[in-house]
Amino acid sequence: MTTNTRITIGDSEAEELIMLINDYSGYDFSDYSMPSLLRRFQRYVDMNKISDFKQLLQDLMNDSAMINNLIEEITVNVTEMFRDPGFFICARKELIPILKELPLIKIWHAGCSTGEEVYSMAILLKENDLLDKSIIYATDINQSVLDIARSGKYSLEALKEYESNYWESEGPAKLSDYYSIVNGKIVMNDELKSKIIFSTHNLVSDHPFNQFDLIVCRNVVIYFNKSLQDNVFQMFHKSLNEKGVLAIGSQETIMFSPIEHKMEPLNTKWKIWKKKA
Amino acid sequence: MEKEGVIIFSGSAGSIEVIMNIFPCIPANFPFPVVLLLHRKNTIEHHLEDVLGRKSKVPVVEIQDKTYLKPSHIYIAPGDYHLLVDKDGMLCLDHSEKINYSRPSIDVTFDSFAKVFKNRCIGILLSGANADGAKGLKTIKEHGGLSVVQSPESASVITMPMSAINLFEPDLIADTQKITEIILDTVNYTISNFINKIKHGQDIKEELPSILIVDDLADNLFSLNAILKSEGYKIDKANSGKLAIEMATKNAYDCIVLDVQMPEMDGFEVAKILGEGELTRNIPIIFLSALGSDKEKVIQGIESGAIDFMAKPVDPPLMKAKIKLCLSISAKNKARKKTLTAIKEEHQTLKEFTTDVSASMRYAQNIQQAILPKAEFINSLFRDNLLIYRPKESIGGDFYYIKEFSGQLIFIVGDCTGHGVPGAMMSMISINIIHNIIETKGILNPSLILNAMVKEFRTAFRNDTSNTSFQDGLELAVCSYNKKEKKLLYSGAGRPIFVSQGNTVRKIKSTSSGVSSTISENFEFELNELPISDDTQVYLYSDGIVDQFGGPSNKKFMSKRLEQLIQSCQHLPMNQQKQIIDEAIQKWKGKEEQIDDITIFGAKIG
Ligand SMILES: C[S@@+](CC[C@H](N)C(=O)[O-])C[C@H]1O[C@@H](n2cnc3c(N)ncnc32)[C@H](O)[C@@H]1O
Repeated sequence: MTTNTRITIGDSEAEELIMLINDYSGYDFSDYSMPSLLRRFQRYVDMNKISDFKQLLQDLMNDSAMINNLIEEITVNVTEMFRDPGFFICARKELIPILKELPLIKIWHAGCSTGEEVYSMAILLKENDLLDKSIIYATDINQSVLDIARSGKYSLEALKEYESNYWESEGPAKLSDYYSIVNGKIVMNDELKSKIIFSTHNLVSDHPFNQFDLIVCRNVVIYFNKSLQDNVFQMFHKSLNEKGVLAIGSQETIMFSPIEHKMEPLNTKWKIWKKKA
Repeated sequence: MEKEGVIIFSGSAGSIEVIMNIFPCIPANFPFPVVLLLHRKNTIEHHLEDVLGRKSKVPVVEIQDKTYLKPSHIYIAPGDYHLLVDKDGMLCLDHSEKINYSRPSIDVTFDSFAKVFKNRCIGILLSGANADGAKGLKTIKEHGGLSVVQSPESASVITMPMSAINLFEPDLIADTQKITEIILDTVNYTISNFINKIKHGQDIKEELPSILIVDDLADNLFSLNAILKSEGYKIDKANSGKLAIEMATKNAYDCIVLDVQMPEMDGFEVAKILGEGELTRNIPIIFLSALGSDKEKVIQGIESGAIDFMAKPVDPPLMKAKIKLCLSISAKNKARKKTLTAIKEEHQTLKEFTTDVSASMRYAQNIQQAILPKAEFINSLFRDNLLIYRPKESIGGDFYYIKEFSGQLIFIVGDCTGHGVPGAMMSMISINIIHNIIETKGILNPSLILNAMVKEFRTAFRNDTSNTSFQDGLELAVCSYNKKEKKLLYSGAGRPIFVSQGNTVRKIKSTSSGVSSTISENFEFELNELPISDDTQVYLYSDGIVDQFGGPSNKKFMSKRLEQLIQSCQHLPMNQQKQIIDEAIQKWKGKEEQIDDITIFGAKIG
């Protein structure tokens, strides 16, 4: 047991940290969902056994590496391959037929984290002979998760879960067709990798950068407050081609947002919308 | 910004059943939102919503990110997300790391709600198989909310409720029936008043303070009434001393305003009589007097009770202030009386509880049974096995521990000194220690397991000289079987085993010393590696069977007889062996009393 007195991060401490991060790095977390941020900050001070808040602010101001580390710690990066198998079943049945009609397929995964979701999508495309005519942009705010995504290397621990997700998602082959095991790590096939472009992009401050047929942004906007969500949705709408499709997380919604009436639902359970003509 | 109050039900394995009983009782106009948080995956179909929706009188909805709770709704937390709430009461989902292997984690949600809803939050923790929720529920209590735990006797899986009970003292421990009653009772109150009522045992359907005013002149009564009525008090009037005494003995007034100059019986006399009455003695009195000089006399006349004095004509603000003071004194008096009765009542229930030994035994039995591995689980690990577990009383000092860990089957039969409650306590401590050694420390070698136990016992009971039962220890047989390598290891601390192979039965001797805090940490328990063939069967047993008196000349059963018994039936499937051994014990015992707990575990391996 530690005798360290734990400090508690409340609203005012969080505001201080948000301000400091903004001043020193330009990253703006002020429109993030407060309850999640509080937990992340709390987790950061707990894990680093920080017992003096003033000192923490001092240290952060003097050490930009520490600020970067804090930023990486407070974004939630949890992800899986074929996470929510039901979504991928739906994608096989309802998205793939739409994509099949296109001469060239452009996809954007916003907030792709360590990339598992992107590789899952690439596998889906491959299984439908669509990978060759696809380009996938995968972006995130966090440089270190992108490094992992780019390497396509994952720990073996999660494999069992991925295999079962794949199976549940009604995958026709074996997940092992798409990776090899090297030095105790899963390594995704080069063929999948070659079709994905990984790059940093901040949904809060950066501009739309291309036009897409499909935008996938799952479990990212739950970390934003309502007004930031609205902005992001508008940017997505702008970035979609005519009849382009937007897929967000199963507990997220574009209802009550400015783009609600500019999109028509494709699947309400898995939150997939199509841009109205 | 709808942030009135909230009731959160939470649980895991075994809690659906409870929910199915409670939720249909919630009336359509229920004034609070109800949140349901279960450990569950985000399944493709929404079974739970559908089933609950059909049974419930209020709408059942799945929680969406960034929404507010509304009264008369049941909200189900989606699988695979933590549920948080921001300071305005907006629900936020979060997909960060699992906590306690769970997402949603009950701890996370309770913690978040506790801080936002404070004393308007009721957290209910039901049946479940891990420790999630205990810490969070404690936080709810610490922030003034109400912490409710399903009583372990009524829970089908007790780990979750027990973890909470072990961690802190929940405000309420209740079975399904009681929980339903509580939930339904909330409709009569605001949520904070309700919580206050439960926590402090006081009903807050607020009673207005009542005041008796006494004067022989109707005009005076009228103006006094006018002054006090505006303060929201309940006012009674009496126009004579005699009537005042009569009324005061019937109603518990918080204050009496008493005119001094009255015909027949004057104010002082009235006060004196009130001062003698058991019920009226402590009622504060304010005297009204036109003379303003009788103070001395007043104080002499009355021994106890607060007294005050006012000159006529009455100055309304002063009067009001004085009444307020009297009322606060009266409230204190009442509270003191209440605590006294509460203490008396508690004492009474405590007495009833301890005399109801059979109830507490049943309770202990539940706990013990929950700790021992279940038959289905054991069956899943062995090709064939038999288990006879017959404590002398409803609970006992014998136990068995069976587990597959890292490809090895570990099976243990232990026999703690003593039976009944002390034996059972010892057995639970032992199981806990074994669990730690094997599952936390990963020690799988039987003789090292025994050594580790000795070490734990030495640290646990080193300084304990007071309680003799802890100076005792236990005997046990520990086996591990490596399925891949087909290797069977055995080490015994006072408990030998039998091994049957082909037509022969062999007894494998044990080191004679049992495990206790008094032997050396480096004591060597002999490790035996036993050869295996396709039909190898091992039998672990406590000494209850071999020590049992009975038979024709009332002798002990003896291990030789057990060996012969096994020899005679070893070729049979194990459930038949079980029957034969069972019958033999019954026959031997006859009318004799069972002298100790009896346990036999046999398994076919190889
Ligand atoms: C929980 S992950 C989602 C991963 C994946 N889409 C999934 O559903 O499994 C959220 C990701 O959003 C990223 N993120 C957070 N804020 C962002 C921002 N302003 N711009 C871009 N990405 C952001 C985080 O770095 C994190 O990797």
